[in-house]
Amino acid sequence: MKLPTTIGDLSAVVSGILLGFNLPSTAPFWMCIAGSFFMMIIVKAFFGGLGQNFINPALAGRAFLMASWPTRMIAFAQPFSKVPLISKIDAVTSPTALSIIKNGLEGEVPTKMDLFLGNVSGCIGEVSALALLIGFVYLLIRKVISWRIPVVFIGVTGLLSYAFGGSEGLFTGDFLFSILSGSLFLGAIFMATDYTTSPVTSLGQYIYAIGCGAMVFIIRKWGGYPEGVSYAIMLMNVATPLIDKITPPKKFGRRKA
Amino acid sequence: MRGKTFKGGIHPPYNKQYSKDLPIEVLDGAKEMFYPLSQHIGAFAEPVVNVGDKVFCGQVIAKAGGFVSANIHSSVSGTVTAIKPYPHPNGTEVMTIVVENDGEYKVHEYIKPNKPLEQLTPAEIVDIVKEAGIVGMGGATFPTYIKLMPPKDGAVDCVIVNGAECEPYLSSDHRVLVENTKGVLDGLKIAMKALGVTTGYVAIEDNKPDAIEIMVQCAKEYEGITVVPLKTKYPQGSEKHIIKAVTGRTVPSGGLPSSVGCVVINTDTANAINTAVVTGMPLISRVVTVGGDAIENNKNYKVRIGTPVSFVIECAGGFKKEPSKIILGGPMMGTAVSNTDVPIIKGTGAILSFTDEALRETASSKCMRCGKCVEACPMFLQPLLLGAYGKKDDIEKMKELNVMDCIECGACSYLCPGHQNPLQYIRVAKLKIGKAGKK
Amino acid sequence: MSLLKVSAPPHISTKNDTNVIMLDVIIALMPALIVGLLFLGTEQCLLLQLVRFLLYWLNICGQS
Repeated sequence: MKLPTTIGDLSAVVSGILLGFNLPSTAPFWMCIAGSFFMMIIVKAFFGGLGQNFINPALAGRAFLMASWPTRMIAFAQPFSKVPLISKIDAVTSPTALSIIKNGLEGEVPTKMDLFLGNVSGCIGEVSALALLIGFVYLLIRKVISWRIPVVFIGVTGLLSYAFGGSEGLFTGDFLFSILSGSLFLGAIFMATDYTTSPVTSLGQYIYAIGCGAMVFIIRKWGGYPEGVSYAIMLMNVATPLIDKITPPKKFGRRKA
Repeated sequence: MRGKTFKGGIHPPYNKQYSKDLPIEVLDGAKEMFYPLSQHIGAFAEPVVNVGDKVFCGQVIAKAGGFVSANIHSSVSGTVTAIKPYPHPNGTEVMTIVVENDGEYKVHEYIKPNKPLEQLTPAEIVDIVKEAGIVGMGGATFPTYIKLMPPKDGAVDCVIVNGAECEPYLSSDHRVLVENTKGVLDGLKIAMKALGVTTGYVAIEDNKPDAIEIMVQCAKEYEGITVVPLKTKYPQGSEKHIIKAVTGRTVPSGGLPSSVGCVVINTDTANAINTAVVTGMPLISRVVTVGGDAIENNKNYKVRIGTPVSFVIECAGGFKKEPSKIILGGPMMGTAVSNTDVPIIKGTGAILSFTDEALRETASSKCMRCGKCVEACPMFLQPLLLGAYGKKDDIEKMKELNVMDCIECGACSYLCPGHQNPLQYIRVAKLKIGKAGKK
Repeated sequence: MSLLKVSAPPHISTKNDTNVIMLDVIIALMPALIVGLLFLGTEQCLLLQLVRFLLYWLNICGQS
């Protein structure tokens, strides 16, 4: 079947940038090609293109790369180190804040101000919470997304980490650290809010965001990965049709069935 | 004071600045007048004149053809030249009485002022309104006299004049509110008396501050009438939503406004009720906004019903640009006509002509489940699902999703970034369900 | 006067098309992109350009 090209709607560009954001800056270009191929062809086009994919394409691409080249995917460059375009994994890389804590790796845990401004190692898009917040405010002003998913998502992750994430019992966790580290802001603002893979009703969006937040905390605390945002979102993406089904809006003038 | 409102809805560009301050001008002079036998919801009226008969202003030329129907009157004096099928604003051909205007506007001897309001009984008022052929002039054209008959359980406790005028470009109600404030208030008072209620509201969107101000001033002299400013939002003028905003009551699914004790009448209708009761003159003219980017001059005309649209456009200076669409009514819910020979009928609130640029027609792409339609739907339906099932012609599923509750405001189709036009599928489904129900 | 168009209401629609929304998202991503590039090395700019270019082509291949 011949379908019209949908280049003009720019959604592929958004997916592309988001995939790029999810890669370490040391990633070789062929990884980008493999990732985008998987993301666009397998995840998006095979399911019918815009509006039909069931999980976020950029996250699926990242998961695919994670499974295929795990060591390259965590070869994060240290900030302000020069990385050649086609690089080998070399000495300039450093672990992320979360993996330092999780795996007891050697390295200095960055300060919260560094995390906020972006003076840390990590994926290209996840380094600066401030820059992501600026984008969030812009999206809110333009009414592209509502505040519901990002705020609830980040809030739930932070609160759960604060309540149960501390090493000295309940309510000793570090709220700010848990929300500023990792790709939580990137995920909550730009990934979880993807129209296609998030619920359409406000109640559904709350449920979805709470699920995302809880899942991030669970993966970070007990999972094998130091960072769980992408898997948390993908899990909730898959749950979206179900959430949509159980949260229809209450009809005007109709009592609850 | 913040205006009251409802949940959902959209904010299209209102574009009322072009005509909102233009005083109403009286427009006469069309050579031939056309009176379709269907200018209202319900049964066709039955003609009571023959070709060659002499008729006068206000004379009944067709009698109501049933309970839900309305009389039709000649709006000019002249001679009946034909009773034939003729293009109707709804796109079909409908039996139409054609009257040649003699230009003298002689009033029929039958037309004389009624007794003062104090001496009229509710039943007499209903009778006057019925005889005057008054219908809802906001576009739905439901015969008004039926609304004014108190329901058997006597539950109605308030009357609301709908001055929301939430459709973009339209300013006819606005002008009536400003220029004929007393007429509207008197009309409301009459409706309140007919229904035996003591509470009346005039609900006006807050983008018409001058109308609100003058209404508040004048309403002081009327007992029990309150002016309610509403937030400017489309579709605030929907009957169910104006009730929600003014009284906080929710009309149940499939129910009439009277089931929550409310009766809603349009601004121009209230004015027509007053005219009919005070002067005895039936509904023979209405205020029409002429606008859009293709028309030479924006106007608010008081037009005799039956005047061809082409004559009105001519009087407004014709087109300055090539029009691609002419819409009778507002751009959200009005009907596009293929032919300007069609007459102004009782429910025609505006003649809008637009060029291609203004309409900006776009090809539809895909639904990306953004949920904007769900957020905007004032009936809290899920247009994206209704549209998707509509494409598959799955009427049963659409029924489950309460497609019949749709008020066809078009907020979903307006807002859709992929231009999916869910409303189109909803309308088709509603027609099909309606037909299946009749079998 | 040429033929008039007839269609079902509504006759107007928002200017917020899919591509406008996507453009907004791209604009919103720019601050993070700039910071990422500044902190992690501007060489990546080339890489991102490459990804975008390839995506254009993959999308064409994927859809038609």
